[in-house]
Amino acid sequence: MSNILTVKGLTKPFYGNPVLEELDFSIESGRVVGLMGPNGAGKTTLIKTIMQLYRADKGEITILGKEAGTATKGLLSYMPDTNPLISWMRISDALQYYGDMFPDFDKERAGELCESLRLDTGKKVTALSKGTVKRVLIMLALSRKAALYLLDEPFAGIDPLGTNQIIKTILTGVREDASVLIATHQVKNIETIVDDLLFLNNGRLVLSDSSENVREFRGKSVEECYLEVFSHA
Amino acid sequence: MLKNLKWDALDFIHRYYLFLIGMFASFLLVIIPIKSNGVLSELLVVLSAGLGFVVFAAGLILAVNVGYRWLVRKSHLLELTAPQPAWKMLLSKIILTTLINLLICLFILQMSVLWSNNGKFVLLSMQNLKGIPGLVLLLVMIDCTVMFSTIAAMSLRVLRQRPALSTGLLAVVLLTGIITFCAVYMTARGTLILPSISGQNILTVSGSLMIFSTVFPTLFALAVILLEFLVGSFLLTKYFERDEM
Repeated sequence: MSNILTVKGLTKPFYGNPVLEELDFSIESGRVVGLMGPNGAGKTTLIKTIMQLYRADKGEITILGKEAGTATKGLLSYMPDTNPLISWMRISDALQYYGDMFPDFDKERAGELCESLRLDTGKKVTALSKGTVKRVLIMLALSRKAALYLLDEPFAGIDPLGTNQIIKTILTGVREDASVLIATHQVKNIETIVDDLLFLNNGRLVLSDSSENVREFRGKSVEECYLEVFSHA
Repeated sequence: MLKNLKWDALDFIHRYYLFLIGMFASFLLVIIPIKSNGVLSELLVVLSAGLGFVVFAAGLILAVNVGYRWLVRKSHLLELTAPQPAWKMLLSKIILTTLINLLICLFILQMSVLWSNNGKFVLLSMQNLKGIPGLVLLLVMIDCTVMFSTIAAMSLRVLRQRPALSTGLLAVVLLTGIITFCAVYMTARGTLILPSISGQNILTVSGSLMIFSTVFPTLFALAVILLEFLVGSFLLTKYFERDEM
């Protein structure tokens, strides 16, 4: 399998304090990867650095063999942990915006996802609950035909039913050759869907393995492994 | 780029529709009571003038806002993650800023003519329009400098920790430098004409706005805008970062 994302020696400090330190990992095509770690571990910083919203001090990021930059943004679909939609927008405006600004945006797919996630496209973004905003952002991100989907805390503040809907959407909404990187500290939620694990603590990668290995060779569930790693970190 | 401009314009209209309504209201106030010379008519003209100047001042601020606010709103994530070169985003903002400045200059000029004619509908003449390109160029240069200062403040590590303060200081320093350089150069060449405002031709100022009727300051202002656009695009592509830590 070919690598969609390769990160080598990535270092990113903020005000002199390293937030990411010498990170090395890669993501193969067709994988769902869980980027896990406690609050402040550097998950959002890593995703924003991959998206070129933050600039790395050292190291390199390549996406499908190309150095990360304006051209590679078209290969990445990003769902931020905050609501970036413009306050006056309705969901239908957001669909129109994505259709205009992202050439790979699939309007038909977006319509299907709106239906399955029960989104009323006439509603204003400011009138939506936190959970519904997350579902809108998931719908927008997954309606693109990207090579890698970067989902930052997609389950934060969502009830179990909403979480279940989002998990289903991720499982059914992504092409087989595309990969998904999900940043979360809610391990239980993604235990069943992740193929690979990246555990991040204080900007360092403390574990990089497949969930299959964790279960078979370590004899632990992903959650047990998480608790073991981070209680000793 | 046209799509950027479409969304920037839509965003402006949705956010600041009161500004546009204010323009229209000011126009209506002066045009409706035309036919009499009564107290009511004069009162409405005064009201229109008051509202018109407030709207004009608001327009000046909103034009600066177009280049500045988008980088501090969370929606910048949408624009900066879209697969488009930075120059397209900036060019769209500059065009919108230019259009807003042009609109408010034409508005205040047309309204001045109406106010001075007590509501009688008189259209702008070519003579009236003479000072407009220079004034718009000056305003766009100021707006571009503020936009460039914002990008630079969020791109250079030393300035990034205090972006609002850095933007303000950088904009003041740059604008002071640009205007001083222009004034000193033109004084040395003997081409600087001091302002003289005529009551008859409101805003067709000869002097300060005529600065831009000579070749050097026009080219200089255009060069500043172009340079800020190019360097701003480069910084936005390579170094821009909005700290949220």
